[in-house]
Amino acid sequence: MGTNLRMAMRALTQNKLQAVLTLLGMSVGVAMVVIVSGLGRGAQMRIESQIEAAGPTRITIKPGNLTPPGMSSKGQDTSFGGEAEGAVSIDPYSGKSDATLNEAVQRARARMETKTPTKFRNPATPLGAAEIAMLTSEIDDVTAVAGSVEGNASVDSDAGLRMRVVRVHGFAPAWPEMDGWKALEGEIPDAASIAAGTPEIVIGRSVSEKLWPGEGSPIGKHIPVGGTDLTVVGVIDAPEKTNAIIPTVYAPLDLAQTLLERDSFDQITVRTASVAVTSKAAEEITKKLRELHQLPDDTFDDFRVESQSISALPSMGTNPGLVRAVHSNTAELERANWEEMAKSLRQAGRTFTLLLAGAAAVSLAVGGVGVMNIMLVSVAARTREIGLRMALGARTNDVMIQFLVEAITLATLGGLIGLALGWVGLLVTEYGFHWATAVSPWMLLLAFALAAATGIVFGIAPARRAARLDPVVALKSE
Amino acid sequence: MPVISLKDIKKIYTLGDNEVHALRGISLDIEAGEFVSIVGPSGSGKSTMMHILGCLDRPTSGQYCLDDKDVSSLSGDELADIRNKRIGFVFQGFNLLPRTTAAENVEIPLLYSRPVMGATERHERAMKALEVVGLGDRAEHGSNQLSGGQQQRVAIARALVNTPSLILADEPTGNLDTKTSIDVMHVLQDLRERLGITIVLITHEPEIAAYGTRIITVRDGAILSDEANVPHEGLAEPVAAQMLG
Repeated sequence: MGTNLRMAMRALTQNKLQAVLTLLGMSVGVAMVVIVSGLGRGAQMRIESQIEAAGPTRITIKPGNLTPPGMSSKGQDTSFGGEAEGAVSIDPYSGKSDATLNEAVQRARARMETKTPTKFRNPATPLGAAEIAMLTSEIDDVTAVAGSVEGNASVDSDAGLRMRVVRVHGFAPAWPEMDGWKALEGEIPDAASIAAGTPEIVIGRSVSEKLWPGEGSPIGKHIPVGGTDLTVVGVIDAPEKTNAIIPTVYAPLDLAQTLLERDSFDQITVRTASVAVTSKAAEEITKKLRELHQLPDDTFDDFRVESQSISALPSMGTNPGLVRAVHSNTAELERANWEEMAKSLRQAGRTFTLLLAGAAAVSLAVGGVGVMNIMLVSVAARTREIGLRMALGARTNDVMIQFLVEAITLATLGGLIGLALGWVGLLVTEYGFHWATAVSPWMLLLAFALAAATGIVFGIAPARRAARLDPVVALKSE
Repeated sequence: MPVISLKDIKKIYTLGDNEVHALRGISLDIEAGEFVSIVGPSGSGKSTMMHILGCLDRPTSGQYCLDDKDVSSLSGDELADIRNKRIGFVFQGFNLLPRTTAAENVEIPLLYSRPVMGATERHERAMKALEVVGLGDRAEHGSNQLSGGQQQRVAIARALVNTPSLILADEPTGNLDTKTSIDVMHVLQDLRERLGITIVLITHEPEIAAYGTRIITVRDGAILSDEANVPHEGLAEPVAAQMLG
């Protein structure tokens, strides 16, 4: 093998210009493969992250289940309700027969006629430490759990502040990261400073303006509530509530619960590992919570489990009341929308990659044809050498392998250069054109293997031609 | 036991509708240690004979035994092995690979011998063969740095390297001047005398054929004459002197 390789290298150096041109062709082909797969992978990863970002990974759990009647959703009341969603209004007295009626109307009628077993409502069970413990330890694919509490607290009258009431929002240590808080000024209390027990709070930018107009940085300022001096240690870019007449201050959970004299949570937020597991996790949470609250089968849930997109709706500027009214339909719509979007984005990504891969395959094939060309020329030019080797005892396979090794050497050398070129190309597209790229070692290995395979595929015909020469004829050739 | 035994060897080429009878039934035995010169004008069939003797081609009919082994119906790869082990070729055009040292050229047959031979052993055997032809000091010279006579001696070393039973020399002096021709013929004679190697020489020059111990004349694909010969060393010199003079 080593001898074959040395023979191949020598043969190639005898035809330097041709070999270099072939190497060029081959390396462009391989570089194309590397660039294309890098771009394709980059694009796909970007698409995946977009899908991830758009899809719900957040589940909120709220106590109580007082959704208005007439909404059809899992675990909620379906015993009331008039015409179904999607129904086309048809005048029952217009003389049209049943057959022409909208299918949805018929379904709705059927539903009205069937007796749904009566279910009973349960009083809300407060969400507390038991629920947090269950969510943390018993639900798969949960990466973070954060309880929160919210309520109004009176500001001590001697404080000299313009506001007499503040809305205290208690946040769990995991929350700032989950909600993507950024400290604009000062800092957000971390687990260590929370444990220290100093009453530290953070506020939003506009709240700072409201409480201390024109006074600049609020850091270090105090808000006395129930005899506790709350110290502002940070300003965050938290989304401001649209109807926030009362300024909101964010306090660590324990502090907030003390201030509000509560030991339960208004809401527990859970983050799942990925979009794919969110709905499964939500179902599991519902099941486990029912067990925990010991709810009989013929009763409704005494809590609400909602995915991120739904709870995000109000802050998107829609009237919360309206949102609640279309709640159940929206949930399905959101999910379907998201799935559709994910599907079409993935499809687009795949098409893009396939298109590029096609171009890469063509340029690799062109490189391969180059290899074939130089090998055919080489076989023709060295017919006498082949005849000599045969006369000296080379078998058909020996000749075949010699030329095949030569072709593969050429192709893989081109492949190595191509890997380097492709890598540089990817760097240029990434830093020069800001395209997303991704390189994996497997991909490089694959590109290299493709180069070697090209050498074999396009080298086999010339090698066979060499091996099949008649030694008598070959020896006579000039 | 003869090294070569041909029995009624015929070779017929078909060119379109014409059949060309290159060999019309050749029978002959060559004993070990003979130096046989085969002479004949071009077209006499001596080249075809040399291809068959060299196992490069198969006869249309007849039997060819080399070292008592019938090789007339072996497959291509089996013939390749026979060529590798038993036959050393010396060609008119030397056929050395360019940009390759003398030693590497001599090593080529060893590359194809089975079982596979290690690089060190190959090199040692190549060096020994080069010493036999008196080129031990030129082993690392590139083949194109050598004179014609030296190149042909490298080719002879290459023919020797696998210790064949037979060296087939096809017009070995065709590309050489008279003085170098004599030189090369002396090397071949020397091989026969010192190592007892059987040599079959094909030539159209009577002066060169005269170095053999037996001269076979071929004409129109058949043996015209087959005579023992007293090889002359002295005679060649005056001939050369005449030609040079």
